[in-house]
Amino acid sequence: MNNLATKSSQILTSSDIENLARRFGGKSDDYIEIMNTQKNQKTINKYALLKEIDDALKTSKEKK
Amino acid sequence: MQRIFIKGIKGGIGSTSVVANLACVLKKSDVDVVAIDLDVKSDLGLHFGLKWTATKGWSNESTFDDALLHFRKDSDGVLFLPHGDNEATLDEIIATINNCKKLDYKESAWIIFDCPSHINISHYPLEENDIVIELVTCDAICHSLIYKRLQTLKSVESSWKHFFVVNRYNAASVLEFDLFSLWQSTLPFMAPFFINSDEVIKEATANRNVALNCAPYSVANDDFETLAGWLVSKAAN
Repeated sequence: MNNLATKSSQILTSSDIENLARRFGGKSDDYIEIMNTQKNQKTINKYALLKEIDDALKTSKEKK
Repeated sequence: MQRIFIKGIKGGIGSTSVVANLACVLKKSDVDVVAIDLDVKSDLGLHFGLKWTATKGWSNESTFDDALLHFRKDSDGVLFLPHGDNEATLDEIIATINNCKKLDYKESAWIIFDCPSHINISHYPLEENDIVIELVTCDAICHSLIYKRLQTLKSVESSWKHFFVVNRYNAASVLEFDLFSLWQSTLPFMAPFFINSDEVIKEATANRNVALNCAPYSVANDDFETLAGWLVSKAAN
C-alpha cells in the first residue's frame, strides 16, 4: 500500500527537504520542515472549491 | 533502461511538449534516449521534425517487429516511435510498452512514454523502478483531480515512483502562487519546482524544434534541465 496520506500534522516533511539534503548532505530523514498550517488554511478558505474539497476530505476522515 | 511515463492529469496540459523537450535535454548528456508516443493524437513526431504527412506509426502494424520500422531519429539523436493514425486499444498500448523492453539498449538509456491523459496510469504494466510523472497546472480543477488521484493511488498496490510536476506555471498569477505554495507544503510527491509558462516552448514547436535548440538560454530550457537533473537523482535513488 502506498503511503500517500496528505500531510496534516504540525511538523511536516516535504520535498524541500530533498533540496536541503542535496545541498548540505546527510540523509533526508535528518531534516524536518515546520510549516505554517494557518497560512494553508487561509488559502483554502479563500477559494470556494478548495474549501469544499477540504471539508469533504475532513468529513470522510472523521467517518473512518 | 530507465522508464519514464509522462501524462497530463487532464487533457491539454502539455505532456507531449514536455516529453520532447525533456528527451532532447537528456540526450545532451550523451545517453541514449528513446521517446514512444502512446497517444492517439500522434503529435510527438511533430516536435522532433517529423513531416506532417507522415501519419503512420506503431499502431498501424500488427507486430512489434513491423513497428520497429517506424522508429526515427531526430537531429539531436533522440530515437522516437510515432503512434500512427490507428486508434490502439489499451491491450495494444500495454503490448507496445512491454515490447519496448526488447529494445537493445544500455542500462544508462532512458525511455520516455508520452501517455494519453484519459488512460489511468495504474492500467499500465508499471514496475518498481519506473517513474511516473503526472503533469498538472496550477488551477482549481487540477487541485480537485490531484486529491481524487491521491485517493485512487492509496487503494492501489503500487511500487512505482509517482510524482506530480507543475507545468505552464504563471508567476504573475496570485491563484497559481497560492495553489503551488499549498501543494508544496501539503501534498505528497509534488516535485519541488515547476516548469514556467514560456512562449519559447510554443515558438519552438511552431519552428519544428525544441526549446534547447531554439532558445538554449531561455527560462523554459532551464526548467527542462532542472526536470532532467531531478529525474536523474530520482532514478538513482
